[in-house]
Amino acid sequence: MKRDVHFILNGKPVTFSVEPRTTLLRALREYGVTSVKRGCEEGECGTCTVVIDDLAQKSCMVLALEAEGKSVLTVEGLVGPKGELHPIQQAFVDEGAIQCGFCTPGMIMSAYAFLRKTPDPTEEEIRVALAGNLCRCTGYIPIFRAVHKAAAVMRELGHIPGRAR
Amino acid sequence: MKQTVTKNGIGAWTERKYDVEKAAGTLAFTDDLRFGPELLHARAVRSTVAHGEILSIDFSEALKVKGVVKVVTGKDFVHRFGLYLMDRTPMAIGKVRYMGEPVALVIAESEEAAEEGMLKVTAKYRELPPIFDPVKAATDNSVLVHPELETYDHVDFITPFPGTNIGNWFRIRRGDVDKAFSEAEYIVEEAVNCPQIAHGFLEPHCCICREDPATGDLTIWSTAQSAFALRDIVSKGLKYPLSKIRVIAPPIGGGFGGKAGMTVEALCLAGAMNPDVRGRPVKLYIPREEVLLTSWVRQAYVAKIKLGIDKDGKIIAIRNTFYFDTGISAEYGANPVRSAGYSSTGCYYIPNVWTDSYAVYTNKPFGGAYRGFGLPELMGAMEVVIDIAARKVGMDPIEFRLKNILKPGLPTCTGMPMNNHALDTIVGKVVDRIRLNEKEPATRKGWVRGKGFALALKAPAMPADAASSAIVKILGDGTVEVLAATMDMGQGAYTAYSQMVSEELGIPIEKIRCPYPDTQSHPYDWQTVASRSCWSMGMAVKRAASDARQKLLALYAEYWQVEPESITIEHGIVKCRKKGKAEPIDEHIQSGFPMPDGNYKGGPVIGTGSFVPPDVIYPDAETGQSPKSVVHFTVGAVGIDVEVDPATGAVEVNKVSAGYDVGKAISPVNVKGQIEGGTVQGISAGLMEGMYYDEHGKLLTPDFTDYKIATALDVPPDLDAFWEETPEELSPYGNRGVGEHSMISPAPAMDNALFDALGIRIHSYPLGRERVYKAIQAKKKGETDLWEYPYALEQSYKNAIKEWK
Amino acid sequence: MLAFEMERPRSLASAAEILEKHGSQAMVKAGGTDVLVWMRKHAVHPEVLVDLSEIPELKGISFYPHRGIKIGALATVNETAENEDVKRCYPALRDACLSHSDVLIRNKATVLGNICASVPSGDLIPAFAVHEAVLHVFGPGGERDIFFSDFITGPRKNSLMPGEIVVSATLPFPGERSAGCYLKLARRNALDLAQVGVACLAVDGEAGRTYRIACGAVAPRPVRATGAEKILEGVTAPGDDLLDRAGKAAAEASNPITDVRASREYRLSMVDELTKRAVALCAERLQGGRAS
Repeated sequence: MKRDVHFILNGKPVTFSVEPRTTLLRALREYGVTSVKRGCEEGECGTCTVVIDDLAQKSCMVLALEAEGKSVLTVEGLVGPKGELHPIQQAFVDEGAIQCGFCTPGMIMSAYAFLRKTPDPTEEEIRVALAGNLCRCTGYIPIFRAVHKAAAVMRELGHIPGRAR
Repeated sequence: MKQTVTKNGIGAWTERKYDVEKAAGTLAFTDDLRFGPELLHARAVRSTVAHGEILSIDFSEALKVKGVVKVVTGKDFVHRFGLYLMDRTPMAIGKVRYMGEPVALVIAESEEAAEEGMLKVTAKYRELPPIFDPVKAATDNSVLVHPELETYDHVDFITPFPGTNIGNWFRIRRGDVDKAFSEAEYIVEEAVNCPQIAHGFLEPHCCICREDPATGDLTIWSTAQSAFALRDIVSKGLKYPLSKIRVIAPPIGGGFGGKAGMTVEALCLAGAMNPDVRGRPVKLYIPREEVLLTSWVRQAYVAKIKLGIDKDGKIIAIRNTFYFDTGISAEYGANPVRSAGYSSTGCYYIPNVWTDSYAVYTNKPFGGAYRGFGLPELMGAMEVVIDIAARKVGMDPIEFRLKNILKPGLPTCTGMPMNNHALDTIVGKVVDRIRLNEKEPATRKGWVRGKGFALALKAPAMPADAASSAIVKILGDGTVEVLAATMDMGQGAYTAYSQMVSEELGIPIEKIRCPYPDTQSHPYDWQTVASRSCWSMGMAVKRAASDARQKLLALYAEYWQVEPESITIEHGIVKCRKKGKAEPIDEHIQSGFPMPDGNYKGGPVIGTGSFVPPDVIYPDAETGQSPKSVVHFTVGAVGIDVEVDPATGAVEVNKVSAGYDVGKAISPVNVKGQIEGGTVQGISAGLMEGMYYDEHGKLLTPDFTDYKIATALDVPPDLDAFWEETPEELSPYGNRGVGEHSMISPAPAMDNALFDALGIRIHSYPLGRERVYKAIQAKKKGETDLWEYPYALEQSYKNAIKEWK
Repeated sequence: MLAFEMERPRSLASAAEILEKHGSQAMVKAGGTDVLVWMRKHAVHPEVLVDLSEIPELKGISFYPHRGIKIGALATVNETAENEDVKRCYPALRDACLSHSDVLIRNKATVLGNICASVPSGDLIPAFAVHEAVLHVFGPGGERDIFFSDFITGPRKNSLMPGEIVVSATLPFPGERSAGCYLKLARRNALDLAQVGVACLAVDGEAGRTYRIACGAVAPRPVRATGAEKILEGVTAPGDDLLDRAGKAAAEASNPITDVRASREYRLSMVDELTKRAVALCAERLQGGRAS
């Protein structure tokens, strides 16, 4: 039996009609937010990572109905109104941190939640923060470079914790 | 005179194509495409035994599930498919050959209904004895995986042996090995083994097929590396005209060979072409835990290598026996067997060679293409055996390697002269950068440290006539569209092609687009595999771009009444300095130029380019000899500095240095990306990866819960990726293949490093914690070698305490 | 995943009512990171999934000085790891939290969910064992407490009665001078199940030094290595011989299986090794005068 769930998706209120078994991953994809990828659907790969109320989560491990009243941010929501990339997205592009691009949205969302909490991270902290997001193409090394770079840019631009951008 | 000027031509560090869309999450992969409510969903029902006759399949309960439209079985779709050997059916027909093989396909209105239906299908089997051990299967024909082998079509350059389990036997016979062995001062005979390895791409296979009910035209949207090879294989398997099959390949989330050829598409077609379904698009999404049961993985192997060495340390003879465990299909796996065979003296010159490389059928999921294509297997063994041999001869392993190295001009094992390379320079750099000759103390308390080294080599492994073609269109706004049916699966092919076109046309890369492959719009390319694209398709793209340039220059020359040679194209502006002309490319380029004589000339400027390697000759079936067996070899070296915790067997990599002679780095950001990514993939495979089965043939590592790949915390803190540029003669810009090579030798380098650290030789991959611990314990008991036969593990697993009573 | 209905009660009483109504057809979830995987793999088929995540009584972590810490059923693994009192007084618990899966899963998975899943490799289990936790349960028969030592009865089995919900758990205050740790061995450095996990808690009380040692993933139920604890009792600076004996005793108390993650033999050796390390680490920390 389908039920309605209301939440904020990338800053806008939405209502989805979903079955209880529908994961947030599948619901978002059904709605058209396809940056959230199906890599394993059992919490082992991180390609479906979204940020829910400031916490990075694997959306395959969240039932859509659990999103009621929450704020869900996906990588589409990081893009500015004029199409400008978020500093993390830009750093991924600049540093060669993207190859096939399938892990990229989830990886960026993990990095986003992490950098808001840890604006000046060490290499080890970055590795721990990204350990739940698998990447098979890059060997992670350019991703670490990108996160360092994004952190520096965000500190310089004064990205304010608690705000989406 | 160079007539084009650009900032982002060959060798420039540029932004990669499609990275912005990937970062923004807006690039649509196959699973992201939408087909509306007509779309049906398919889910495979899988066998529960490894080998058996199908007595019955009962799907009556499945048809009662709300939303289930149809259930098809193997008997409804009797077609054989295969790239090199047509031994594969998308569903079992009459007999299952591995546990997890599709026996039926449930088609439903939703993925959920298909899943529910799948759970309701039951099948009965009469079990047959299975065979899992490739060495046994190769030598004992009591269980035949393919009794019908004789009836299967295959290409000329593979050699199946009906009546056995041998799907391909590749041979090299050169010189007199027996005589050389009898004269040798030292004989080294060693064996190495490795289980099946999974690609671990993050995007599972996904395919949508639709048959036009009126025309019979098929459209296939799929996670395919090679749109044209897929079309070809489907056409041959179905005996369906090529022209009635259209393949659309959206961006793919990693391939590594796992999405080459034809993988899951025939299974989807079994649904979409069913008379009760025809007309509606059918989607087959393979859930992660079924990926390894649906398409191929890297073959397991047991490699035996015998070396004869003279008193000066020269290797004078080699005898190789490679058993590749190809599972139930060698349709693709037959060729890595050949690839390992025709490279089977590694990076060394050895005058007397005897090689037998076998693809052996067993009752397991099947082997096929994987980054490195036979070479990680070959070098995984060869570079370990070379290390052992050096120590036996009493030489430094680097000195021993350099003494025997395959210098430019020396014959490879197939007799072709080795191309130019700078392997000695690379070896020197790697040795220096990891300080290979310095024994350093461990940085972790109680740990031990070691360093290891391995060489790498690989040629594009492909048919002699693997062709490419490209179209370069200059559009009316001065931008360029490049139609090159390579799949850019992250390796950066479209960035490299854009740089080539920019180089040839003087147009900035921001103005150059490469759409993803569609057989309806793109010209032919064989496959995106074998590290061949920047070389083979590169030739076609370069030719197409220069063709377009010649046409453009001719038109402007007449338009301006100047010599074509006096015209330049600089950053998208066409100039003739002599006449003071400078105009951006505009719509004249597509609509035609009003010429001084009053007539219009031109019309859309389109450049075309085609390429096929001109001079490759298949190795002789008996001797393996050929004047030119492959187009070129790319060589390189890896050095690894590791530490081991002797009390647990944990291994941490301190530093890796990896360098390759790429000929010319067209796109440095991508060359660096390929070396870094492949090195980590190689370390991951060497340290923790392997597919394991229980004694009944059940895969115990189907998903990421138990098939572990490196995470961000498993990556070395220091990875030095570099390259040398010794140009290749027949090549668009001197470049050679580079995509696969970094994956080849991290594992043997690690094995050699562990020997250095522990003083015991491990002959079995992966070098996981438990195995390393076992080696340390064996060393304490005076053992010098640890050999764990992968299929003996199945036996010990049989007797293990697996459940609590 | 097969279809099910979902209830999201807003009070404990309402949750209990729902559970009573649906009996064995119902299953509860907190974070859901185990239950969702089990459902997806068709290992369980509840008709009604009772999501506890909206029940205020189940939230939060409270520290009661000198008495203990109370962890609510909805406290996530990360929330627990980041709790200042946990950091200060329960390092074994914190280690266990930080070793669990990855940072994303830890944002969703709950500490008590890991306990209630009762999977032998559960990372939080050895820490609960050494802290001799008490589970506070609410059910049709009212409230009751279950000692953790009585809780897990086998792989994925525990002593909860039908309709009962674990509301919270109390980990008694280990004492001012205590040290703890959880050491885990897995196939890789993150996002993996324990091949072996060993928790140790060393306390300097009035009667001298005591050790508590628990081993995970090596038996159907959590193993308290009481033999090893006895060997070490009273010893503030155990030498190699004693550590060896303790390690052997812990291995003797274990009864692991062979599976694709590790062999029985390797697990036995690693229980031995990790026990030695965990004890030595705790002793060293107390030696340095650094409480906990």
